[in-house]
This record gives sequence, structure tokens and C-alpha cells, in this order.
Amino acid sequence: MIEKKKGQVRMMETLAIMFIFFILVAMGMGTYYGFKKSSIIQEREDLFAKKAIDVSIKVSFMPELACTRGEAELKSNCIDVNKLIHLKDLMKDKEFQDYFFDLFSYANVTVEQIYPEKKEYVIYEFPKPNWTEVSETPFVVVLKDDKKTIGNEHRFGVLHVEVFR
Amino acid sequence: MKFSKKAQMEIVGLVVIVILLTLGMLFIAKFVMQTDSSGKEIFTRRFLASSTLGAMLDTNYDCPALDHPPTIADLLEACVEDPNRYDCEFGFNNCMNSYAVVENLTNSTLGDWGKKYYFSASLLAFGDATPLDLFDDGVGGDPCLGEKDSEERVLQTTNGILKLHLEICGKN
Repeated sequence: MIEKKKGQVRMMETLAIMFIFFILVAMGMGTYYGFKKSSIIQEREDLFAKKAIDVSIKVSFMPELACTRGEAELKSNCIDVNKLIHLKDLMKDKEFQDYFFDLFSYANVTVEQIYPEKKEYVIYEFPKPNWTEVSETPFVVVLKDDKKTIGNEHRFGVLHVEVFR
Repeated sequence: MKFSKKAQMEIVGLVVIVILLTLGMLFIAKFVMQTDSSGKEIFTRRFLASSTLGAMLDTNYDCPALDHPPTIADLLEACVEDPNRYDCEFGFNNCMNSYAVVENLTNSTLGDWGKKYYFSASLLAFGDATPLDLFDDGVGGDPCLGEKDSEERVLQTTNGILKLHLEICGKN
């Protein structure tokens, strides 16, 4: 009788240990799943944010906008105001709209002059219908006006890029 | 003796479980409490620091009195070499002009976007080991304490090397 009771106690002990072991395994799996899920969400957010950065880089190095210095390489973070004004006119053309849609997809691209006086140039406006989220990346640029022989040739501005999903 | 050995082994088992649980908790705490910036934030900060400083130095100062107004880099150089070189505003020398414009430009961009930043300009005069700060407390508040990205430019002046430093602080 005593032997039987002892065996039952051992069995209970084994069951308790197995129960704790499986609880630990389940907790580990739950934690791993939680981390994996949050890292996938983070990666999705990063990809969305990267899209805004990609569009900003494309815009700032576009030959249609970038400042040139003869045969030298493009001047970084610089937008030619005269090209900008011309591009705004070109954007009215359907053919150019399609060309830029291939480049930027659903996005808004605006150049804002901050100094000396405030001005805004909307160069591309194509928000996604029924968008749920927007990611914005502002980059500081210098706006160069070659035609200006007197006064401020270089102005201070910001390139705003918004992408949608 | 036999029972005592068994009890010892059980205690060892319990200790192992406690250690494993503690390690697990530490692991979870590490992931929950980490506040590292995302890739976008780091890239944006880096790019902002370099583009803001570069664009600012290239920008012409609004000086209607002059046909060819100086750039902000020219103003900073003038502040070190001859503070009255460009006569733009009555009663203001080029050091005051450069401080005001740097404060205006950084505040209307980085400040408006809620970024904490710090700009400083220091002159390392020839033959002098200690740099001299052009703006006493810098521009934009205090230097970043934690995570930051910074950009530096150097201007050669007749009085020494002028080091311009812009840093953008991270979340913490």
C-alpha cells in the first residue's frame, strides 16, 4: 500500500515537472512569436519609410531639377529654381505626368523656399486614392537662381516628399 | 544520506529553472525596453545634419544694400577676420548677422520639425591651442547627450581655422 502511494507521488511529481516544462516551452514560443511579429511590423514600416527616402533621393538628383556646374558633377542638395519653374509647366503635360508617375508612384513633391522670403513650388501631386497612411521626409536644400545677377542667387529651402499607402 | 543527495539534486534542478527564468526575463526586458532609432530616423538625421549645414553655408544672406550679398559662410569668415566687412544692417556687425540668420534658418526647419539640435562655430587661431567659440552658448540649446548625428565643415580664415559643427539629437 505504501509502495503504491509512493509510486503515485512520483507519478504526480513527473507530471508536475512535465507541466512546468511545457509551460516554459509555451512561454518561450509565445515570446518568440511576439518578437517575430513586431520585427515584421517594424520591417514593413521601414520599407514604407524607405520609399519616401528613395523618392527624395531621386528628386534631389534628377537632372530636371539638380544644379549643374558646367561639366563637373552635380551639386548636391541643390535645386535649380529656373528648372523648377519649367518643370512645373511641363507637369501639366499628360506624357510627363506618366513618366513621373513611373518614377515616384503615389506621392507629393513640394519645394518650399524658406529664406529670404517664403514661397512654395508644388512639382508633383499624386496622392493615392483612399490612402490610409502617409510618410513624410523633409530634406534641406539650397535653391539656386542662375539668372539673378543682383541679389540672392542662393536661397534656403526644403524639399518635402510625401508617400502614401 | 540517500535522501539528502536526492534533495540536493532537486535543489540544483530548481536553481537551474530559476536561472533559466531569470535569463528569459532579462531577454524580454532587453527587447521591451530598447528605444533604438529606426533605420529611417538614423538616415534622416544623418542626411538632415549634412544637408542643413551645407545648404545653410551656401545660402546668400539677405542684404539688399549689396548687389552681391555674401553667403553665410562668407559672413562667418568675416566675423572672424573683419566683423564690419559687409554693411547690411545698421548697428549689427557680421557676427550678429551670422548668429541671427543661423538661428532663423535652423529654427524654421529643424526646430519646427521638433528636432533637438546644436550648432557651434569655434575658431582655432594659429598658434593657439584653445578654440574660441564664436557664439557663446551655441545655437539651438545644449549639445546632445545621448544618440546623435553630426556634420562638420571647416573654413579657412586669415586668423585660423573656423570649425562649424551641427548635431541633431536622437530620441533619448
